Amino acid sequence: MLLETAGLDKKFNGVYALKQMDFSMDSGEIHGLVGENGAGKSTFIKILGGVYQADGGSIRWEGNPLTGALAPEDSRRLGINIIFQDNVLIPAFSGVENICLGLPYPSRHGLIRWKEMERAAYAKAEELGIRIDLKKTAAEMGPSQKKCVEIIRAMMNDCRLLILDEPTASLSDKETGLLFDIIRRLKEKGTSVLYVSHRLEEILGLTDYVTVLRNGEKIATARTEEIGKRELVRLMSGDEAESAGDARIEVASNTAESAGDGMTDRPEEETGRTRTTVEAMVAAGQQVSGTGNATDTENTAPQQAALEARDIFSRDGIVKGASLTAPAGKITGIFGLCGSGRTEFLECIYGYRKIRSGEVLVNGTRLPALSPPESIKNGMAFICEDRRGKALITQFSVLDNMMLCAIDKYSRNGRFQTKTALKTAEEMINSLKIRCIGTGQQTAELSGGNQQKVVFARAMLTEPSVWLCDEPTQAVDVTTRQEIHRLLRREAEAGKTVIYVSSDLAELLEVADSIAVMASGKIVRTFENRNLKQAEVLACCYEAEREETA
Amino acid sequence: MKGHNLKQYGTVAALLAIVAVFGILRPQAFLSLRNFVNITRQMAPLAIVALGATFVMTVNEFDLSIGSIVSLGGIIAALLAIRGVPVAVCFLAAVLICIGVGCVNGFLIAKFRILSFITTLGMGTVLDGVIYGLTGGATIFNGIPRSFTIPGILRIAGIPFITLTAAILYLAFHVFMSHTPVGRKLYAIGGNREAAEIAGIRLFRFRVLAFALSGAMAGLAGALVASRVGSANTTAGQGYFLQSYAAVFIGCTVSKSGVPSVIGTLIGTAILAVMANGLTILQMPSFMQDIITGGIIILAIVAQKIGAGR
Repeated sequence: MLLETAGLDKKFNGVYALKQMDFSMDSGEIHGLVGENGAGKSTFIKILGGVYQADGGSIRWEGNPLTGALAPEDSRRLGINIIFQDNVLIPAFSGVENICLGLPYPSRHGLIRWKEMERAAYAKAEELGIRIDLKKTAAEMGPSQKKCVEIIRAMMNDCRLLILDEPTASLSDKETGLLFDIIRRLKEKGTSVLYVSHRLEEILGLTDYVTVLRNGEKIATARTEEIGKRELVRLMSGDEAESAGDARIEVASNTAESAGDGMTDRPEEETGRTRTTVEAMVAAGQQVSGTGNATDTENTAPQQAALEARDIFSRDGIVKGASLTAPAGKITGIFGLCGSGRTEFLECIYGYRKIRSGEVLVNGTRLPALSPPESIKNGMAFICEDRRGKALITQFSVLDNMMLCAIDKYSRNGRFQTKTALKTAEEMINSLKIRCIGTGQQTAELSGGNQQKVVFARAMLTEPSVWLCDEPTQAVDVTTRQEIHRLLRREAEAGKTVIYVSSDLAELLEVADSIAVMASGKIVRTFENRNLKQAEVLACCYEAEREETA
Repeated sequence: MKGHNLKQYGTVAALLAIVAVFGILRPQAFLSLRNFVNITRQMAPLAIVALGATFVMTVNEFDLSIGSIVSLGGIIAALLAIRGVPVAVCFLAAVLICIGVGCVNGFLIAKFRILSFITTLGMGTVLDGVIYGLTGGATIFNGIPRSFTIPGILRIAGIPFITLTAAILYLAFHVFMSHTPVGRKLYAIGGNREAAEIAGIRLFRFRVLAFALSGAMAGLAGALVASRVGSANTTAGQGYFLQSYAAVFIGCTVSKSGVPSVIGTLIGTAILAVMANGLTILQMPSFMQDIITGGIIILAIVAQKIGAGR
């Protein structure tokens, strides 16, 4: 066995994040690690990487017990490399220097030989089939380029065990395919890969073994070929799986809305419940945004464009004349390959990214200027792709993060109403099932999915009529993913507008009513999502990109 | 990419513009080789202190005790000199003790993860007390031998020794920061501490190093100032903290990604020194000098933000 752990324990603030973890893997094995938010996956890999020290238990490496605390450099020396979910790059350093970081710098007479470093980095990039400009600084790179740099970096060492934490979260399908090729090549060379992902298709398609964690404990390890998706979901979420999940979500919706509107009726029967929730939310929508077009509770949703973007050109030239019409009551998907400008387009609409020209209309009224405060005032909520970088102030508490957009709303006569805010935050924690110690816990300590729930809670507090979501389910577990999908669907049914940007086409086909395809900074075509096939959308995508480059 | 170049040259252009304005207003007094040599001599101590501040800012920390360390360096060198200790040993002792102070700063900050702001604020106060204890609050000038003043006034081929010292340090540390592994690791820590840690860079070691270097530079500057004026004042280092960090901040505008750099700090120091020199030649009262210099610092930062286009 390459790696064996026995009885690993790790506690934070007295709560077990990982409990009695027994685990083993062999050389040349691809091992999947799955589990919901806060199941202990991150904790486990951080112990292996030397970032956290285990409170108890033992680790054996190639049969030899490791004594003493494992520091990050020890772990690297053994040949354990982790690519974390968040990019860990030095912004001001070039790709080349980031790649070589942690290796001894090649030097002569104490001076660094930059040419040699560059050659080594480019050679490795070439070997892995990654073609990006490594002379750019990390600050100038997009998420997928950064991920590529990290992958190259991890491969620079004599890597025995590569740990990948949600590596595909920010990658397009093409890049994901490339990554899988690399992983399979590594396996052939005898390198082991521990693959952490919420995307079960990836786990099933790639791994030899899979281990399921739940609430910090190992539930099972199985040969991947002997287990199905359904079984995995069952193991991850516990026996009562899907049906219980649904019920929980419905209840969640009611309390979430009642927090703002004082509606508390909870019918017993499933369909009746949904209907009541929808009506309650329609009422809320009218009060808040005054849209007046959400009166139709039957399935024929109103067709008026609640949000329209016309000929948006961003100042940095990434978005080049993108237009989009998003009707109320629908989920409008935006799909694009990496670098198509999908994130940037959304940021332009929200007013976070400066535009050179173009206009945004909400319910037919042109917004005089685009800026986040204006957008919030006009009922927009923005769920951004870079959760830890741009959405959360991670050293702030759950409460403070939730209140970020609603500080004024919860203030009376210049005083912040802490009590009311606390009460609302607690209701949010209950209704969205956020796993945390309390409203005072730092969001940095929460798992990815729970952090995302905090972001959603914040958006809900502004009672938005237009949701702008960029990869809202990136790196969250299956249950949260479903919860988010349902929440947005309910919002749409209540007459609100939802724009859903994703690099995961399968997900868009699942949730969106229509899919706008973006390529080279423009919306090239919009598909109605009726019997729509992945291949159709992808073909349109690649064709548009090809036309652009030709 | 073009924006970056504009930004980079903007700070240099500002320096040249300031020189041009003084040159037009007072061509004789200001635009002479003698005055320029004079400026380099005047700016050398600040330049050396600011070099130390550059290391600390590179790892994303602050050293508020830097002014008190400057005073301490001068006092130690002078106290030893009046006891007949050879001048080289006086300087060495001052630098070593100040390195020690820097190490304590760095140790406390890196080991106990205290904010550098608070740690060095405390250290500064401690040092002020130590200096008072050593001197009784009096300026040391009685019994300072002539030999002690040599480094301060010596000229080699017309160039002041102080200027040469600063120039050599700048050259060496420019290479150190940009082209040696240790320098790059300091940048890595300042750029993203988590990433640096995960990459196996020993945070503790390099953060202590940054503060030790800062102490060394401040101590050396203090000794040089004492040597030049032939006395050691207990408050000689006052004002060095603000001036040196201002120089580093202005210098950040020079680099592509807004990080501190040795060359940037040199340009920053030069801007401050030329302003001080020119305004004195214009016989501007000192309160006006403060107002104008402070304004320039703020302008430089604002101009950088506007230049960055966001």
